[in-house]
Amino acid sequence: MKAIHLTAYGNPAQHLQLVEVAEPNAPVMGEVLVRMEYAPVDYSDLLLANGVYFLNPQLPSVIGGEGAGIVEALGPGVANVNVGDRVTIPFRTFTWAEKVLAPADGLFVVPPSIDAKTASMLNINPTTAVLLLDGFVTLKPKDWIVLNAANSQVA
Amino acid sequence: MRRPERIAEIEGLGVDFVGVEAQQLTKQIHDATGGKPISLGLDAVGGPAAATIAAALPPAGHFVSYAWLSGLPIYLPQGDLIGKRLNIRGFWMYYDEFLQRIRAALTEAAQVVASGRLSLPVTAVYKPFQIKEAIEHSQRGGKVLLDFTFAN
Repeated sequence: MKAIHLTAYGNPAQHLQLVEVAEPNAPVMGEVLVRMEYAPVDYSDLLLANGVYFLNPQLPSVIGGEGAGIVEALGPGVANVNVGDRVTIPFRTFTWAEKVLAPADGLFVVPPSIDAKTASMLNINPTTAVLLLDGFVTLKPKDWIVLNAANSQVA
Repeated sequence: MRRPERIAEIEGLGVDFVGVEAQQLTKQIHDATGGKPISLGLDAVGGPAAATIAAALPPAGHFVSYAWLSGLPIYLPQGDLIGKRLNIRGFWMYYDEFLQRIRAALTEAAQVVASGRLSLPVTAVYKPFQIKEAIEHSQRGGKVLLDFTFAN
């Protein structure tokens, strides 16, 4: 299958390559195999590739901090998702590949009204926005906040 | 904002006041709120833009840094830091205290998107073999997606 590997830390435009790799093994206990649909290139992916993020996988490695796909196979004991569900991929499972193995308990089943492209962007930017608004002060309607990067997706 | 030509677009999203980074921005922000305190400031840029956020906050306000798009350290005048006893925090969604709240936050985010109140625009979509172009596009700005549906 196709996957994108980071081969060295540095300028990501130079060190990310399309590679042919073996398909993942069948999912084991608690795991799910997901056929990926879309994955965004996030700011944090560029930081990771540059070697200035808080995760430094051994290289070469697939990277990609979020994405969405369709559940293709369930490992033993998995009951929270079904084959055919559209799910988002949890933290610590890199997404830039045709298929990924992910822990079932981190998967989020996407509501049917959300398309695949939009689903691929749910885990980081809008979720960050919710956590930022709830995590530090208790805001009431009509309260003000101030922020920059106003045309970013978090904003 | 850095670019005034985008003010109308951001205002159209329902933001109460949009200003351009300039000397008088802090005063403009205070005028816009009618002097109401701003309890939370979110900095994704760093550099001088962080100082604008700090200046807009009231005593004991919360300054949260969650990204550094400018690549610069945070500029924080001591008059704001010391004089206003600002609470300065770094945010990463994968800190333990947030990790346990992610599912609830993600569920809320998905509901807001599903309801149509929030859209997540896509700037461009690339195939995996176009990874270099995809990265370069992302570095110029905008939301770039990789399409694995027909991998080639």
